[in-house]
Amino acid sequence: MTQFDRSAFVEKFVQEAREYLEVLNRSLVDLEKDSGDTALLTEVLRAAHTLKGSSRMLKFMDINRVSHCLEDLLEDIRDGRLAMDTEVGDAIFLALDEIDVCIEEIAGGGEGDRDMSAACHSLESLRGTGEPTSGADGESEDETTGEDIQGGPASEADAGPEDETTEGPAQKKATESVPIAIDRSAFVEKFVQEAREYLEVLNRSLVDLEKDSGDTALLTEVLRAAHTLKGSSRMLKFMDINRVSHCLEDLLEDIRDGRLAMDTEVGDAIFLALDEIDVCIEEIAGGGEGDRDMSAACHSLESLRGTGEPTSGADGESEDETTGEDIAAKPEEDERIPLGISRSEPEVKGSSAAAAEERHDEPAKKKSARTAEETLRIGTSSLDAAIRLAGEIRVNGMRLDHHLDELAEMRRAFRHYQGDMERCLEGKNGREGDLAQLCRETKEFYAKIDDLYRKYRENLAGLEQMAAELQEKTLDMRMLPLSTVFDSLPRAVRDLSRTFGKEIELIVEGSETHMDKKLIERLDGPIVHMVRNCIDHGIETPEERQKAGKPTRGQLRIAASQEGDHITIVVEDDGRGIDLEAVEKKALTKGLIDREQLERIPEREIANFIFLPGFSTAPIITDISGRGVGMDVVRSAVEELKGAVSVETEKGSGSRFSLQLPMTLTTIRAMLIECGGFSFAIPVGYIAETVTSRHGDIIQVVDREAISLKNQMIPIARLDRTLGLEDSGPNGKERFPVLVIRSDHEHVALIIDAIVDERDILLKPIPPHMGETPCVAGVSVFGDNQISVVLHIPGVVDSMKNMARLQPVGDKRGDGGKGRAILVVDDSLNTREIEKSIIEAYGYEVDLARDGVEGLSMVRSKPYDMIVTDLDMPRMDGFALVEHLRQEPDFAHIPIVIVTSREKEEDKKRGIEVGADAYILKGGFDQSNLIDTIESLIG
Amino acid sequence: MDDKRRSIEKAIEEREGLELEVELKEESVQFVVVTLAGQWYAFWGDVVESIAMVQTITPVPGASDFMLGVMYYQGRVESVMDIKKVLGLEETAITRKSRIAIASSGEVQSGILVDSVEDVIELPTREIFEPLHTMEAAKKEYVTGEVDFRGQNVVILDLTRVFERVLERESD
Repeated sequence: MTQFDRSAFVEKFVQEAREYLEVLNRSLVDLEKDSGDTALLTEVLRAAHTLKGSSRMLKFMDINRVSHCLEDLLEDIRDGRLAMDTEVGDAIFLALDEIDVCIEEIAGGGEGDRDMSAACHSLESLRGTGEPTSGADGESEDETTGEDIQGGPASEADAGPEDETTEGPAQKKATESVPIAIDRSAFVEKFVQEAREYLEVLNRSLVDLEKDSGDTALLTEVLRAAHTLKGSSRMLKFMDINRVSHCLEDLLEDIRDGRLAMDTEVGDAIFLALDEIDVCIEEIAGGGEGDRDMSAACHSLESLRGTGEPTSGADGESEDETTGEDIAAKPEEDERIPLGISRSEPEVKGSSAAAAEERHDEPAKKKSARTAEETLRIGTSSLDAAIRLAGEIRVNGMRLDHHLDELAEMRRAFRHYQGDMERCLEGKNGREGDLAQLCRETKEFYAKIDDLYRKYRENLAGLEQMAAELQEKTLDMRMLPLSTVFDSLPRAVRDLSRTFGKEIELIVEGSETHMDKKLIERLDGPIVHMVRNCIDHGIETPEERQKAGKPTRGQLRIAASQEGDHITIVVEDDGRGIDLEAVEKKALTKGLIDREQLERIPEREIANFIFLPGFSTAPIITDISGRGVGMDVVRSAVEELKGAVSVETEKGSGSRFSLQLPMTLTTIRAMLIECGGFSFAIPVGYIAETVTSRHGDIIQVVDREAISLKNQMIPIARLDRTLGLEDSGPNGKERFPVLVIRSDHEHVALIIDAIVDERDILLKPIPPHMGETPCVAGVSVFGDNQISVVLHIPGVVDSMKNMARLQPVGDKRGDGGKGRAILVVDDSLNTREIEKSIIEAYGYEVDLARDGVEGLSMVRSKPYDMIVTDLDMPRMDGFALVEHLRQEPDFAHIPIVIVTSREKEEDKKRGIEVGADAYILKGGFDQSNLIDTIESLIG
Repeated sequence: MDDKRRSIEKAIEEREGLELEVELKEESVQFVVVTLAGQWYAFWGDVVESIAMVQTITPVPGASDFMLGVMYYQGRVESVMDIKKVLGLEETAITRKSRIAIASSGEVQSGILVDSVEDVIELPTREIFEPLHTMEAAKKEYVTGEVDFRGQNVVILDLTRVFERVLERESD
């Protein structure tokens, strides 16, 4: 078949199809009244026939199929085999609606793919009976026929009239029923999915509208969503939803027309109504009927409107008054509402329900409804690609099967040759010719083997490639944008801030970041939890903020970003921060840590105590701003997803929760390494760099070791020791590879024996009964059935920290410092901490500053006996700091030591010129060097 | 102590009850007789899924000390348990006769490293006796009976109970 550019024809087809549909819709209504009008029947038949033909030409097979059925049915009517009654009419109109939806989708650039089996089936089932239906004059249906076969997404404009035609007579002859065998559930599912999407749109847009009620475009979108919801719920006879959405639409129209202002009161009523609808829809999703008393919601909406009578249809399609005659005119009048959201878009899985859960006490019920429905919308193109690949793999497999046959053949042949050879050897025949022939034959045999080998190799390579591609494609199907979680946040934040009396500006970034669906589903809870925590405890009330000199409106920022294989999600507020002293106190009283341990923990890690299990078992304690309530739950949820969570906080200016998560749970890009005779895989997302080091590069720091890299000092340890395996010790080689690992904002360095490879690996879980394995993410099996342990880097980093902490302070050589105070200024966190621990070990009191500016202000506020500073720092570098200090008489004589990686003589010279007393290179840094210098200056 | 005895008796009863049905047809129970640190032990046959050759066992950092690691066997990642450590027996090296019994009970499936698999035997249920041996406490809690094998008394190690203990330790 020749391929032609059909796009040019598509437009024309759409135009024509619309016309034919109109003809069909109009004429069939007339035919229902007078089925004897053969001229009309001929016209209708021709329209159906043409539609069938042109859709076939352009390969819109679903339209083709329905119009084919339609044509057959109409022929039966023409030939008197079937009477045209309302039941038949209903089935036809349903089919027309389905075609209409398809055509509008095509008009919007889609393929018009649609499951037509229900429509076709209902048409065919009418033909099947053969005998004319019972109520020849068109009164043979009951409640369930007309309405229920209406497809969810079919245009609302048709709904009114459709309902009317069926409902009218139904009241007269409700008992005499021949229900059409149509499964409403097929439509219900679609309805639920779309209703969720519309709710999402409504929730999201209305939050924005509250801020700017003048946004007419947004208002129109909202109105359309409400309108469609009203229509489709009516079609499927979810009358409670229908009622509320009707009220909602009326109210929104009032707002649009300026009769009502959008304020928080109105907002509350609307959101209440949306929640009610949400509850209904989830009930329907769980198989229920969605019955719910909506009078309160409706009443509150109506009472706001005040003047206008509540349910009068403002757009002139008031169903209850429409008469049969209107039917033909209707569909032309109203512009069709497009299928809100294209089908390739990902399913929005009840994320608004999650927000609703916070307010309604029906979480259990909802949850069951949601878990019952495990669906995923996949773009047809990617599914097609996967199916194609699977097919090719199948074909390839058959080829390999064929190879196996060839191989079996060869095995037989080889056995034969073996026998021949033995006979030759025994000289039974003694004829030389035999041997010569055998040689010839084996030569041919070799050629065959060689041929098979090549074919096999080729096929295998193809198979591997296709399998890899298939894996990638199928994994991609599970990737969803984070917006599925984030889109519910504006609504949740709005409600929470109203509950807690806070004013909050929400900033959401990175919604487009993609993640594995499985991960996203389980992220919903933790994120909402953190957001709630920030609003409840982090951000102050407007009055408090005013007093603190902050803008009254607090800021909540939620941002996602991708780094390599990893996703970072940050939840950040500019509130009061976490009270570290209170956290410390609580950790001590709860016995989670003892005082000695506490002293050895860097200050910035104290906030992370809130994630400890048991920290928050007590009832909500508001004096430490309740932080940590349920935070251990967040942590365990995140760790279950092989992620990590941490918090940074600054008193008075806010806190920042940061989640680090893998993009997917199944395949990861990993570096394969060896250490202590074992091989390990490390997700590359955590590897900042790999360097080669020498033993001489390692610096002794009190209780641990560090390495100086790029103006930073990084803690370093052998990997096997960190993992609690036997330390195989230095392998004797002068140089060894070092992995610089980045976890959250920290760096640590791991000494390994060798880097082997980098590749994509499939992560398999280890059996759960193996024990606590915080350092292990799982295992990966390689081609030779060998297993490598895949490391969970946040766990490894923790283990390294704990290792240092657990060790007794060995050579704490006393108290030479006698409590004298030293200020350490360095922009690298690792370096600050390391210098601090060295100097503290000698009995000095150490304060830390991040840069020159901070250092300068600290020196001015507290007397120090010495300053140790880096050179390269943001805002104010070391030279400037020294210069500044020397200019002020009070500080002209404080001893200053520069510790830097700048090795150039001119830097050293300049350092001394500006007034430093000593200049130490980080490269040649060691503990005693620094201490000796300090002691010689102030000892 | 009495509680323990009672629970042991109960376990035997359960076992026998279970096997009673089998007995009606076959009148016998299967045991896998293995060697651990120079002594014979019997495992109930119904929990042993298969016997595997020893393959590369990859240690898992952080795992319980009686877990040697994991191996890949028939498409699964199986844990391998050093049952001698659980029972407090002396360590022995892996030899050519060493095997890994894949045992499955409840939710746990794990390989069990044994020094050798001696035999798979079928015995009439009436030939299962209560344990008479006075033995170390570490072993005792896992022993549910005794059978005669090649003229010797061999204790039955209840792997189900071993696994239950493994889970118990996990949930601690």
